[in-house]
Amino acid sequence: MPNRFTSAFAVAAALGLTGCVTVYQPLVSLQRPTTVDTQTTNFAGQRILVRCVPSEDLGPEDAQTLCRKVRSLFTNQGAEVEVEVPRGGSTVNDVAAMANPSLIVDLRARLLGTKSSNLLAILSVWTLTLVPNVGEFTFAQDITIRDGNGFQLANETMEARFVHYFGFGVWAVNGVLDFLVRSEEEKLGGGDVAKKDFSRDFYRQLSQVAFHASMRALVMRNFEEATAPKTPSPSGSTE
Amino acid sequence: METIIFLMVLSLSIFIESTNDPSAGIFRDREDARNLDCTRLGQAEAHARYPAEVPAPPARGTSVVTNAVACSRRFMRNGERPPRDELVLSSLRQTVGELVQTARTVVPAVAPITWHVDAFYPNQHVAAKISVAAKTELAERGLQVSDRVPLLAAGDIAVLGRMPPREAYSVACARYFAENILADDHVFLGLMIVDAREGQLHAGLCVRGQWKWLR
Repeated sequence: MPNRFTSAFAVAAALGLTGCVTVYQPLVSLQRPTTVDTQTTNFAGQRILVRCVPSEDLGPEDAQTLCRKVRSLFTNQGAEVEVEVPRGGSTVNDVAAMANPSLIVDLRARLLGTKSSNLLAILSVWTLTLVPNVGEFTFAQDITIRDGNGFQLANETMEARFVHYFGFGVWAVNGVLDFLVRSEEEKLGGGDVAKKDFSRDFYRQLSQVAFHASMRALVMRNFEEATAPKTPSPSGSTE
Repeated sequence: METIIFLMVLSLSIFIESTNDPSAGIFRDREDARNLDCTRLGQAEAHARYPAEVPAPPARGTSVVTNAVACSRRFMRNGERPPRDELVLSSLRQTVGELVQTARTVVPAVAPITWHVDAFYPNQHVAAKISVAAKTELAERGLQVSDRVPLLAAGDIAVLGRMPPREAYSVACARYFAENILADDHVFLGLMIVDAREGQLHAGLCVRGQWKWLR
């Protein structure tokens, strides 16, 4: 009986000592430089409708969270923002929730692939994570931006890859390297660094794409300010 | 003892395997990883491009490898060029190709036309590259391209320099035609940025004194 307790304690202690290191790798578009400063008013006077489209890879709650963060992003840059999470069969081609938006931003997420090994996972558990377990997933974020009339201004796909290392050895080696060798901006840390890096890249690129779209719309309107789309009236004239 | 050695060798082999991974880790720092252009490929495409590294997909069923990450080192490392120059130059061929294609559809192909090209960009060296790229693209499509850049008088340029882009390009176009710098069978393709915060090129076309924005 004492042996069982000892074993259980050893397993618990080993699991407690294990760590997860997540590494973010920008694949397509995310590591490009940007010229837009997200801390300045790049969208003053613009009305932006953000639609986060749920899918099997992006649940409604996650879509809602994404939309809320994107709203903060554009609001901080001077735009008037509304968000919409289409649900229950409604499509993104429905009449926009916001009257006369300058830009309509549609965001979709897709899981491109995952990679993991059951054999490695078993081996990792069997060796109390001395042999690390490695897994990864890659996903794409599709961004489509249209003007209030539905004219497509920008279409961009960004891809990111996340690699998870789970094991005491990897965690310890990374911890030592972070502490002794790596500079502050080179530290891998835990999962937070990967999340922060991805968020910084994604929101910077999204701001850049949206700014390019707004400039393209401005040029195509011959630098005229955006006006409400003309709708036919019963009298035969347009208003 | 044998078990410990076996585990250490196994762990070491996994660490060594990670040296092939393009993501940041023990053997590659984050800056180095960001200077790679990577894309995810299906196994069939990966095998077609890298037959030595990726096995062919089986005719039936699935194999262990189903996709691969293919990376190439960036020609210019991050930070070696200003961000705007990097954005414009890294996609110059594709951008210019699209703009020239659009311009061709606007100009009627009823008579031989001579094309003039100029780029309006803060950095003169980059402006020259943009201009040459556009001229090359036009010439490759069998069009007649002039090396001459249409120039206005100093007084015109001084006035135009104080105008916003909305007016400056259309007024300049009208002046080209009024001063006979451009004839009826000449068109002028201008490529420019209109805001310091953007890293994309716009284009406009001057035909018979009329300026038209293309993108």
